[in-house]
Amino acid sequence: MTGPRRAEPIYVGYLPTPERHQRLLRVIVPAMLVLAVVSAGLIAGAQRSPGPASWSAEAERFEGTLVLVPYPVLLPDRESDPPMYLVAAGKFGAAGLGPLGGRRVEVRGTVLRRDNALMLELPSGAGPREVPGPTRALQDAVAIPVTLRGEIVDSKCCLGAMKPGEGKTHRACATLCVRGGIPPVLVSTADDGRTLYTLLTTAENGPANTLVLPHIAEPVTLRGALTDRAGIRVLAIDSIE
Amino acid sequence: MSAGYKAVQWNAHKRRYDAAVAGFIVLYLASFVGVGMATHRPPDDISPPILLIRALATLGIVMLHIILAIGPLARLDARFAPLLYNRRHLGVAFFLVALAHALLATLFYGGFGVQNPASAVLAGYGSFASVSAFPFEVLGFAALLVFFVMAATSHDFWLANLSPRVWKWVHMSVYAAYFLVVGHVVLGALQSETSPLYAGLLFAGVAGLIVLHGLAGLRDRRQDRGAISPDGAWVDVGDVGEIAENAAKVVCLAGRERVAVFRHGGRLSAVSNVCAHQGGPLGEGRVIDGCITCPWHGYQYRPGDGQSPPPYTEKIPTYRVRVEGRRIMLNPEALAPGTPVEPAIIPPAPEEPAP
Ligand code: FES
Repeated sequence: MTGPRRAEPIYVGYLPTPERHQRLLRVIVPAMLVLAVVSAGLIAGAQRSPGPASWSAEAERFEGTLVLVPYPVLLPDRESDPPMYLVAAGKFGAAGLGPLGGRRVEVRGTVLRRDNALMLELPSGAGPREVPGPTRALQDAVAIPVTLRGEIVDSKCCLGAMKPGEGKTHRACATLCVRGGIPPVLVSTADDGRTLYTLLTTAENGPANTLVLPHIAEPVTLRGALTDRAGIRVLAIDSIE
Repeated sequence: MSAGYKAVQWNAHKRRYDAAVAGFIVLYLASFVGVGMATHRPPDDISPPILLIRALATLGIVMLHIILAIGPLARLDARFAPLLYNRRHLGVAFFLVALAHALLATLFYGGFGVQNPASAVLAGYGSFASVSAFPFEVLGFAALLVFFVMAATSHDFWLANLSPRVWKWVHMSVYAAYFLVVGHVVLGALQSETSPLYAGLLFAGVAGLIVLHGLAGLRDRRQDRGAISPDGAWVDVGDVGEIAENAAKVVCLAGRERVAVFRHGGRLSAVSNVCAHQGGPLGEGRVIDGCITCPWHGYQYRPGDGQSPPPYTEKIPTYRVRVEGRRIMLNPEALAPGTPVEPAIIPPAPEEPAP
């Protein structure tokens, strides 16, 4: 030996990087960039599908009878056409339509659609206008006592305003929507696997917004009386668990 | 260092580091949004703001794991030191990503309604007693507050004005914030995103960090196991042949700070092992240009008096050391930071002539 051992050089940020550190950096930096692309892709690809739902960009014009079930719904002239829920822009229900209940109206708005459920968002400041013509009346349907299991969400996000518009991360939003007057619906699965959307009311057929607020986006069991009103499933809630 | 505070001190390495961090962020977000849109096509598409909220959320979690892994990795293998050198920029970048996630989620989920967005998201619903109704947003918000304090105080200005103890304490709270983030994910997204990939990745992340920190802690413990209990004024701490030129031997004294005994130019000097900057292990540093140089951020101290060369003003405690035959004798009493101590001359040995 001719002198004391030489120590491995250390890395100092303001000095040239020693070879052994450079060797590791040459591997680790590209590896991290590859990790960014691969991990992001894997995580993004594994997201749950929000299911088919859409929201048209262009406003369309519709005519029909405005009914309150107790939420505002537009009944088209032909019975085979699906009814449309009416809501306002943002996280608000369509308010102040009571006087037009039972009248024939013309409305313009953008269409939200999931499966056979339809909704019309009325642009702010342009509500329904009464027009002459025939009207339809809601038939008083027979109520069947039922127990339904599912998740309570706001109908607007669920029908395509937000995708996904259910689940835990959407809970604050759904709560806000229901608080703002958007009709609450129960999303459940039928025996044959179809997804069912059931509009929720109180036992007295009034808006159930306040009643369901603490139970949104959670698994719930609802008991009540189920009716079909012009093609809309409506549950008058007796109890929530 | 402390000669004056600029907003950020730049050098070529920091610029390359920041470029790599920016590249990582851009590639991650682009890949997430690109793959998310390609795999979830209309009419089964995910709303673009939600896609972005999720991209930022998962990017933040990946970055947080990297940040927390760098410390123990650098302790286990010094070759990772370049990643540690500029970690605070990575920390600030992570905070900005987490902030963007929080702002976007608050505006999108909490906006457009009857309540103000923040209260809609943080106080809109829930019960702390239930898993399914737990307002997970509150956990994320609490973590964000901790990250904010850390990002805002990460500069050396605060280090000098907060006292290293307080500063270290602030920065240790990152571990509390980390578990708040884990809770935020478990009680939030994992309640409805049921792919086992997510739960699996999160579990692997938590387990990986625990193992890394455990290994690094074990290594420190092993060093301490050889601790010497000083019973007299001078203790024998080893043979001069154990120390390579311009490097140090770290001596653990039971119940006291560690001491770094450096060998430089045929002499020995002993100083505290704790860097005055952020407590870096000086004994793993080297003598460069005649100064003991910290392996973490390169702060320098003169071996003869433990003082940073002008214009810098840091000081570390020094120790008296002498050589008896080939044995190193250390006086375990620390001298006040910056006290000059004459280095001990190493007598030439037949098998190891002085340089
Ligand atoms: S801890 Fe930062 S230079 Fe020593």
